[in-house]
Amino acid sequence: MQKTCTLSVLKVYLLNAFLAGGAIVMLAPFVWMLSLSLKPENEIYTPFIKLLPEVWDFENYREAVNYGETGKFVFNGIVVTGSILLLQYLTIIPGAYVLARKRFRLEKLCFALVLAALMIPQHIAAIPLFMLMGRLSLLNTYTALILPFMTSAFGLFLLRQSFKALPQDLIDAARIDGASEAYALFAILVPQIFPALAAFSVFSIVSHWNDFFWPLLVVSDMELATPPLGVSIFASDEGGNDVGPMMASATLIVLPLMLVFLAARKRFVQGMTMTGLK
Amino acid sequence: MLQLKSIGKSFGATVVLKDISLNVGRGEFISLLGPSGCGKTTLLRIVAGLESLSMGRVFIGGRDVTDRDASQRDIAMVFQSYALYPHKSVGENIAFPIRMHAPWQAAIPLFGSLTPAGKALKKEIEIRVPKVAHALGLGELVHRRPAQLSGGQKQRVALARALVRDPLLFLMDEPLSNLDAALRAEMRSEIMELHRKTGCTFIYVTHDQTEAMTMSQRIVLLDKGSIRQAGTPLELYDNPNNLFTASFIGSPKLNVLPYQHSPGVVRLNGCLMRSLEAHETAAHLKEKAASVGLRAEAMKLCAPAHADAIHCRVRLIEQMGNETVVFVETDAMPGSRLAVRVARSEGNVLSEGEVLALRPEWSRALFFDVGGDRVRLRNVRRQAFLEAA
Repeated sequence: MQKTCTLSVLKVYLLNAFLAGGAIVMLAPFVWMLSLSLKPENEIYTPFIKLLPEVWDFENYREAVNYGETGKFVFNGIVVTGSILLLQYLTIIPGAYVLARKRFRLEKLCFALVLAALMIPQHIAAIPLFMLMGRLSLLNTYTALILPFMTSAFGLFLLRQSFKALPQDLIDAARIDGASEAYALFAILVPQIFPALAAFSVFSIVSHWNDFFWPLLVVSDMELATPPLGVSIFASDEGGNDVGPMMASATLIVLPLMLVFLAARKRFVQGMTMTGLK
Repeated sequence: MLQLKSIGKSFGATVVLKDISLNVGRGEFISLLGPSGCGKTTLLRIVAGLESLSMGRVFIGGRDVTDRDASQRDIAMVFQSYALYPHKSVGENIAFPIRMHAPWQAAIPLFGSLTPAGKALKKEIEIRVPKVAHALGLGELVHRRPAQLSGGQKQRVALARALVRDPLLFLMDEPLSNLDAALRAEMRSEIMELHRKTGCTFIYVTHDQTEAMTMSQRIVLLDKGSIRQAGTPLELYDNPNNLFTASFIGSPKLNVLPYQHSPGVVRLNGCLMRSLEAHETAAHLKEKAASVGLRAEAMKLCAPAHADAIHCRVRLIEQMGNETVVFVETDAMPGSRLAVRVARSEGNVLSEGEVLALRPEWSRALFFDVGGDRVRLRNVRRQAFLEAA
């Protein structure tokens, strides 16, 4: 009895040590970013690794906000990711509902197309999309940043699975009680799939907030730059890297994401386990 | 109140309903009864507007609603699964139909409650929800979520949600099948009480003949997508039109015995029937009968030497307390059992394995032809007498 106890305790310790190791590896760049952002310039390039700065210096942040205009990039990021998310909700919720519940001709083909779209990397479609934006004279606009992402195959797939798991009686009951189908969908069904929706939202926000590739293609005007594009100012300006302000800027940009994830963490994990997606 | 005109429904090549016509009067309690897969739920869903139909028309309250959406039909429905809205409290669940039937101004987000319609709606909810919740014994539960309720309570909430408005029709799809036996009996009388109090038109789908018999004023018996017989519970019990109705209604199940009749010879279950009554009844049959249905109470114990005696062996004795049901096996039909209802005093002296003699009560016998249709007796006066019995 005693032995099995110590063994299982040992197992827990080992497991935790393993997970802690993984966490450290994942967190190291962030910690380093935070550390560098707080150091004055003369401390950044030293032969020793020091986590804590000798002199705490918030000058980098001041520079990031004033010179780098991080506030503007964050604003652009919020406008772009927010609009993308809203448009995605408006397209994938009805779309996924129809795919889950309605029987129509070419239904199978439609779903197959969604699955196929899931497998195409964004970069393959980038050049035709760029040319399309060019033809429509939309380059260097918010529209160019938002329009290509107004729907999401992944979202359609995820929500379809969630809608499929809901009982048909629920929507029938709402319709009998006098609700239109659209009202029943948004007022009765959507609250039931909240975990999946939260999981999808985190995915969408993170991927579009962090997207560097597409904004780099369609936006050259720094007034419209999204956060990652904004950070790159410090990487190229004045011939050299301005590491301190760049790290400060990066820290500020990651912050909203962390807050979003922490807020939705519980729902996010629920949503992932619910759909059997890992 | 409800009129169905030759309703037909098919999924591809499978015919689910064929040529269903039905009239339901105001305030009537009608049951759609049948075995699973007979189309009764599909029929109810067609009435509700949740299922499209292949042919025919549906009229509710005198208006043709065939092409109308479920939300426009002014009906209420209780589902087998209750279908409560999980994210809303009990009170909000009950208030939902009122909300949905309020003028559109009341539904404006944020500002709706400030409009006159919104204020009227709020008042209406404050009056009607506690009233119906109280009537169904849900007074203290209005703030709970459906997940925190027991099965019986969920059932009551579903009823309350349906009753909160005054719909033209009240539809119920096997509402009691998820409850345990004691609760089911209780809810049965409660639903009947609700029907009496509200005076609403109820349409009740069930596969349980006891529910249909005890609750409804009229039963519509369905089989394989068509109506086999419609009538009051006692009509269906006493005077079935066919073998299906006769065997579906009643418990224990109808005993069906093979019957042969040629001039001078009557055979029931292979045994020669020698009584005068047996021959007289046979002579009055309008057509050739192939089987006889005898209810458990239409068979009597008799002396082995009786003119109509059928010899059998006791297989099982079920004590009901007030009476006893004896299941016997005959030599002519080994493996199948006949149910006989006997008085308790008679049953007490029986034991399993014992050999008995039974005789049919010819005045209560139901005759059927090869196809299962009822064969009636020729003598009108006698037939009237039999049907009254």
